[in-house]
Amino acid sequence: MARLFVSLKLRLIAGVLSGPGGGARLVGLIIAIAGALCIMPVGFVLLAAQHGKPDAASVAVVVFTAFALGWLVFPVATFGTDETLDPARLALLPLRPAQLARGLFAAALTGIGPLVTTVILFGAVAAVATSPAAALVGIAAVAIEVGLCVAGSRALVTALSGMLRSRRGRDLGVVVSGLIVLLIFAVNLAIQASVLGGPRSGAGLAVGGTMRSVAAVARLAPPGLTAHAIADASAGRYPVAAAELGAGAATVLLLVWAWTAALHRVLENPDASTQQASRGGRQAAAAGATVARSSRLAWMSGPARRWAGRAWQSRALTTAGRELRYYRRDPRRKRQLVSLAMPVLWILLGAGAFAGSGLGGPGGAARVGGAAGVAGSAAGAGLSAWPAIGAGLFAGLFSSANQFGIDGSAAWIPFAATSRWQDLRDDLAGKSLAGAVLTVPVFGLLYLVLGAVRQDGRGAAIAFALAICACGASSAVATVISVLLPVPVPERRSSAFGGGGAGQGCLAAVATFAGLGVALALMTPVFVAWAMLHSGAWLVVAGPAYGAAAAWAGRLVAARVGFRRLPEMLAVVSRAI
Amino acid sequence: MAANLWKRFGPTIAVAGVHLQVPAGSFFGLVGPNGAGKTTALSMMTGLLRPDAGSVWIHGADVWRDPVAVKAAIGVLPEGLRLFERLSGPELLRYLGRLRKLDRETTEARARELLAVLDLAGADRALIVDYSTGMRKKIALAAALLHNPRVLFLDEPFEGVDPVAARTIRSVLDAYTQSGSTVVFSSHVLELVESLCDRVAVMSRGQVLASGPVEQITAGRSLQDAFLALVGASAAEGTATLSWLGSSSA
Repeated sequence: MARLFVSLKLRLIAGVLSGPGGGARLVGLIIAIAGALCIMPVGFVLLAAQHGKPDAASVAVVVFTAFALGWLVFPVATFGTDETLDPARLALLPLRPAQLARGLFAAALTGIGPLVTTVILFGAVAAVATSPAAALVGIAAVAIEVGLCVAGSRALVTALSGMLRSRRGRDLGVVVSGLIVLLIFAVNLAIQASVLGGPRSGAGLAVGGTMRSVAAVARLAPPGLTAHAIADASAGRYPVAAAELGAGAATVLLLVWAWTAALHRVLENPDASTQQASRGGRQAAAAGATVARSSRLAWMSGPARRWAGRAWQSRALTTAGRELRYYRRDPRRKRQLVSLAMPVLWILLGAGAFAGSGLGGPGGAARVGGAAGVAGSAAGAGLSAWPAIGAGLFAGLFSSANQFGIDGSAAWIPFAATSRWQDLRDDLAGKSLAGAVLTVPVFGLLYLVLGAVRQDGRGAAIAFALAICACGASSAVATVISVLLPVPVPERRSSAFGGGGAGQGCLAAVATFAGLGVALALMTPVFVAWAMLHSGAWLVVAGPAYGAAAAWAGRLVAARVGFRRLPEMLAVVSRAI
Repeated sequence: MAANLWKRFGPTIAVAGVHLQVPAGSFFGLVGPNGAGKTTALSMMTGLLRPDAGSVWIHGADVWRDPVAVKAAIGVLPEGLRLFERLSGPELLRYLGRLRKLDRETTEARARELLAVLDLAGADRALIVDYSTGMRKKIALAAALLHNPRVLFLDEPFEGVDPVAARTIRSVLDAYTQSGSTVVFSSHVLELVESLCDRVAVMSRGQVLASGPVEQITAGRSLQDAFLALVGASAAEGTATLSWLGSSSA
């Protein structure tokens, strides 16, 4: 049975590779294998190099714990990934749960992940073991740890499988995966900042101290206990080592039992898929909402109310309203919001680590006049320009790239009501407006806080203006690209890290990032004027105005071009991937 | 009216010179086997897919040259294209009402009525992504009818729909055509086409094999028999093999 499951998994991989888009997937697989071939020896050698160092045991404990946690979190964030591991697909086959568990266990052990895990864990063994007996304990510890990883991950995924198959569960998974990426980004930034910030030896000591305190907590849990058995065996404390291995093995057995129980439940109960929301009292609520909306403008005078009512009904605001609902409800939009957090972090880093080119000071103009590439010069305190421009460029890009990709085939609805190019212009304006509603306040709040903390209100205002200017310029370019090169964005179930379609997506990504350069070029007049005027104060008004004008011009171009190719755009974004 | 419509996807010719004349006020059925080109033809007639050659006129306006007049005059229920799934039914209708430049009171009144008639009023907070297939078809029909179009194009409106929802959709369409409006719809359910439509066209391999009043096409037979005769399929086909099927010894 185990062999059957392993061959089923291999066949499914082969089937995916030979199907449509198989070329791109083959490239992905080759990259994954090449990455694994690099990571395995590097991880092994880095860990083995800890041999004889005082923190080796702590490192082993942390590594064992990190792998166990990774195995728990990753499949949940990527929806359990793998068809061969989904017990519900096998529910109709005449298999006993024990047979099924054995088969699924074998399938879970097949793949690059378990291999990478095993090899790197052996690096930890090489770091800690100082005798043949300790090495033997290490081999047992690795076997138990791999068992912990696989059984723990399967038990959790099986227990959550109903939720992971439901629409709400998948939505949550997409957002969680985005947050994990952001967390990794933030941790990376924090480590870089702390390591670069202090003297090198001090940073090293700080990292070592953190490692020891994390290890002291982690060694109380089964993965840490299992890892610590190697150190205890090296020190000749064999009974303690045996007890620790026993605890790890008992946990594996417990997890296998929990997994089998979860399998029973999944096989015997119908799929708890998305529940219909309860229906009571809805009509009353809808009627109430209508009344609330019509009375919202009651405080205005007659003509103002009529004008506001017309604006409210306008196509741009209608589209903006729908987009904002999508930001609230669509996991792909939510991930875009998570991506928006990256520029925010960048600004924070710019304000902290590269403490600045002193925008508030008189010399700021000249320094940013030469901004092409200098990430803030060393002189002076205050807020630097470059992070603000970079963050603005990224924010404009994230909020305006591939405007129709997320609409997908639903783009036919506005297209069916688009009979003049101005309709498309209004749609694009609405989409940009929704992005601005989310971006501008974030930048505003951030620079308000940064200005207060650094006591540099003038610098904060200029940096904010530059960010908005850059945001407008990159939004203009991204809007034009999204009309020329629309890319379907699948509501992908199997991977939360999936982007656009193969080939086309890659091309659009390259075009969009090339667009960053174009956007920067669009800002040239601002840079030139700034360098010539030797003052940044006028930027507070002119920067956002220039950004808004650029975005408006981009929309005009995009609408005129896009209107002529609506059916072609629809055909591309409707393509199933 | 469609004249000499052609569409090619790579090496495949999906529609090869389709001519169709649909009289105003008729209930027109488009039938054909899978892959006959019905969806492609309807997409080209509604301006959602650009034909390689040929032209389409609706009430005297060219679909590709006069989109303002055409898009205001038609309602579409496409097959295989999604709606804005993360909106609720009423939100979708409100959004469409504004796109179609209906005033708010009209949109609200029509949306309420359509949701009630189509039995969707109870689910007005649920997102469309959580709707069943039948509910999706019904909200798509409501979306197509909201601006009271003169011509309605429906691609497989009864596909995957339970009998209760089918009866609801049917009664709405009956009421719509009795007012003198035109319906063009494609379907696999020949009995339904026969009972609903006054005119029918049979498509196969990208071409129209026959088109006209139902009685003329059927010529005294059932539409099913006329259809099979036209597309050249034999009812006995495919039953010659599988001789093992039906024995109890697995």
